[in-house]
Amino acid sequence: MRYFEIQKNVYYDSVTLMLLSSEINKLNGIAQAAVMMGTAHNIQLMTDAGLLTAQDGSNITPNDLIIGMIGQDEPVLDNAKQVLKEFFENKKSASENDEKIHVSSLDGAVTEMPDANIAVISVPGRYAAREAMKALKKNLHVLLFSDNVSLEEEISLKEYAAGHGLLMMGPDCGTAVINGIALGFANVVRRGSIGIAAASGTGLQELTCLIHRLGGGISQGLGTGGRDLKAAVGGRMMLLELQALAQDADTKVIGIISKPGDETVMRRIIEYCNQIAKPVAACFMGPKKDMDYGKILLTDTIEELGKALTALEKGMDERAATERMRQIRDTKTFSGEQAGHLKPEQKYIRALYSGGTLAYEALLLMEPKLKQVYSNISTHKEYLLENPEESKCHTILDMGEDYFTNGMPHPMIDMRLRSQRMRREAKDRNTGIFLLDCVLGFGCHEDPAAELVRMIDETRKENPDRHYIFIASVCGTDDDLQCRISQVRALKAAGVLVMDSNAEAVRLALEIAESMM
Amino acid sequence: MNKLKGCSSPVLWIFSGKPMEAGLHSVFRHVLNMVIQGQMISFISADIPWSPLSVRAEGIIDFEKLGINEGNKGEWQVVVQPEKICIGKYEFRKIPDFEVFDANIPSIDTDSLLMIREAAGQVIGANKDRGFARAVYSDSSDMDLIAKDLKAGYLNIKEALKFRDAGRLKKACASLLGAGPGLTPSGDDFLCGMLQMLWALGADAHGLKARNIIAEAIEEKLYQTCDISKAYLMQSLRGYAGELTQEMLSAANEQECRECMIRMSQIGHSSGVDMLCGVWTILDAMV
Repeated sequence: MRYFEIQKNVYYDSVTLMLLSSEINKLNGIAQAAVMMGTAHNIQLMTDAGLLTAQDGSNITPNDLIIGMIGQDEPVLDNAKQVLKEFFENKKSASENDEKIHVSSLDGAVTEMPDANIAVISVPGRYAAREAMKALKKNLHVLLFSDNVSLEEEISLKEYAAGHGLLMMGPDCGTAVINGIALGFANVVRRGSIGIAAASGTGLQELTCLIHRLGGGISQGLGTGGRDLKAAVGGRMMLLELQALAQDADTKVIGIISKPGDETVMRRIIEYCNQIAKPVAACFMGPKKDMDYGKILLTDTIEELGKALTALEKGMDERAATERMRQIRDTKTFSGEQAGHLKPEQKYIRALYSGGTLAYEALLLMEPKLKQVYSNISTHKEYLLENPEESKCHTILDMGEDYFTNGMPHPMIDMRLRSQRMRREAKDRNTGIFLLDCVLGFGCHEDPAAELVRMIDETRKENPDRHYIFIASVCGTDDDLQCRISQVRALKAAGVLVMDSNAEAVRLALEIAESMM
Repeated sequence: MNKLKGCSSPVLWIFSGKPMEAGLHSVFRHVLNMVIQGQMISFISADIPWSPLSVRAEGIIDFEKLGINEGNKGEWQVVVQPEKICIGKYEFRKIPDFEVFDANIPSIDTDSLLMIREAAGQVIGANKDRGFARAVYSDSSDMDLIAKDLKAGYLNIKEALKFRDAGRLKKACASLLGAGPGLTPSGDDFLCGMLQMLWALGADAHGLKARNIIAEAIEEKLYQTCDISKAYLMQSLRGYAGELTQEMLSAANEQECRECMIRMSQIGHSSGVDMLCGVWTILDAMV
C-alpha cells in the first residue's frame, strides 16, 4: 500500500530531512520511504520507484517537501503517518519550548551563562589553541579535546593557566570527571574520595570504572593531556592538579596514571607527592626510571592501581593495599581448552583497540613474554609497523591513532574500521586470537557490544572452516547508558571470553598464545 | 545588541538606495532567508560561515527565540534601509566598521589546485557512505535507487570531461539538476562544486568552455529545483563562493586545506561532501 504527503512551502534543513527519512525507513512493515524536495528529478525518481503516481506529481512544486511510503498494509501506514505527525509537531514545539541555549561561539556562551567556570573545547587543531586561550582569559578552566595543537601552543596555554590557577586539561584530553560530572568520553561512576590526575583518557576511564566496580568512588578525575610530563611542558598541569587534589576536602587518596615522563619532571612530581599527607598510588606505564619514589605506591597495570586505590580508600595501609593489588584471578580456567580449537598455524594475537592507553598497556604486558610484537604505537623502532594496514606476527593496533582517524569518527563511536580490519585479519592463516576493548560511557557508541558481535559473526561466516578466539574487556559501569552487564552478556552469548579488566584480558591472550608456541 | 556586522560583496546594493520591502522565504535557527527584488539573501548569525549572498548580524541570533519561525514567517514585515534592516519590531543597524566579504572566486595556480585535489580526494574518501560520495565510490550492485541515479550522472560527466564532449557534458549536468535528497539536492551541490572549481581554473580550462556548457544546461531550468538550491546554483554560475570555499582556495598548505574541507564536509547532511565531490571531479579531469 502506498501513501504520500506534501508539505507546502515549509523548509527543513537537510539533517532534519534525513533523520525523518531514517525514522520512517526503520518502521516495521515499511518497504520503502523517501523524504525529498519536490524537484522534477526527484518526482520522476519517486514515480519510477512506485512511491508516487504521475497524477500525484502534477501538483508538486520544487519548493514542496514530499514524503512517499510503501507499507505492507493499512495499519503500518497509519503508524507511519502518526510518526510523521509527531515528528513535525515535536519539531515545531521544540523550537517554541526549547529550554536549551544554542550558541555558536565562546563569547555567546559566556554571555548566556555568566556563572560557568569551565569550557569544553573541541574544534580543529588549527583553531584550538586560540579558542582555549580565549577561554582562559575569561577565567574559565579548560578541557581541550582537540589534538594537532603544537607543543609551543600547549606550553603557552599551560603557562598562562598555571599562572592564574586555572586547569588547562589537554590538548588531546578526552576524559574528565569533575564534581561527579562526566566530561568528554567518560563514565557514570560512584562519588567517593579517590582523586585522580591522568595523562591518559582511556586510562582514566578504565581506572574510574574499575574503582567503581570494586566498590570505591571518585572525588575528581582530572586529565592533563598526553604530553604534560615532557621536559618542555614541565608537568605543569600534573603538578597543579596534584595540588588541587591535595587541597580538596573530598579527596582522601590520590592516584596518578601516566607514561613515565622526563626525569626532571618526574622528580618534581615525586617530590611534591612525598610532601602531601594523603596516600598516593601511581601507574607510570612503561619502563620504570631508576628513582626513589618515596611513599608513592607503584603499580604495573591500571588494574593494580584500581585495586590499590580502592584498598587505600577503605583505610588499608600500604602493605595491605599492595597485597590486595597483587591478587589476580587464575585465567587458566578460561584458557584451558581454547588453544585446542585452533589450528597449529593460528599462533598470533591480533589486538584491535579503540583506547590508546589500553593498547599501550597490552603492548607493555606482551613484549616481555612474546617475541615479535608489532604495533603502530611501538616504542621499539624494529617493531613499529611500517604500514599500519599490514599486521605482522603478534600485532597490537591502536585504531584511535591519527592514521586511522584522519577524517573518520573515532573507533569508540564508529566501528566500521575495526570491522573491516577484523575481517581482513581473519584471512591471515596465522591469526588465532582477537583481543578487543569495548568502551562504554558518554560519547561512545550506544551499543558497542552489538556492533562487536555483528563483526564477529561476519568474520565467522566468512571463515567457516576456522576457529578464532575472541577475548574482550568491557570498560564501563552498569550505570552507563549502555549498561555494562548487558554488554558483557551480549558478548558472552556470542562466545567472547569477557575478562574483568584489560590487563586480565591480555594475560588470558598471552596464556593461550604461549601454549601455542 | 541587534547590529549588522557586514554583508557579502554581491549584496551591497541592497543598502544603496531607497528603502525596500522584502519577504521572508524560510527561517532556520541561525539563518533567515529573505527575498529582496527577486533575489534570495540570507541573514546569518555571527558564527555562520559567509555565503555568497548574505548579511551578517554582529552577535549570536536565534531567530526562533525571537519568535520568527516557518509557521509565522508570512506575518513578519521586512524592510531594508541604507543603514539598517528591520524585521518586524527588531531593528538591525549597521556598525561603524561594517565589513564586506569578498565572494568573488579568484583564479588559483596549479600547485594550489593539485593540493586541493589531493585533500578533496582524502576527505571524500573518508566520507564514502555519504551523499554523492556513495555514487563516486560504491558499486552499482551495492546502491539504493538514489545513489544509482546520481552515479549515472556522475559517470556521464566523467566521460564527457575525459573526451571533452560538450554535448554529453550538457546532458549529464542537466540530469543532475534537482537530483537527490536534502534541502539542497545532492546533484545541485555537486554542480555548485564543479562550477566553483571551473571559475578558479579559468574560462577555457581543459580546452572546454565547461562553465558555459553547464550554464546552458541548467540556467533555463533552475525552476526545476527548490528556491534555496536555485539561489546557490546562481551564485556559483556567477562566480561567487562562500567563506569555506574561499578558505579552501587560499589555504597555505595541505593540512589547512584538509581541515577546511573537513569543516565543509560537516555542512548539512551531505551538502558539503556533495560539493567536494564536484570540486574533485573537475580537478581530477582537468589538472
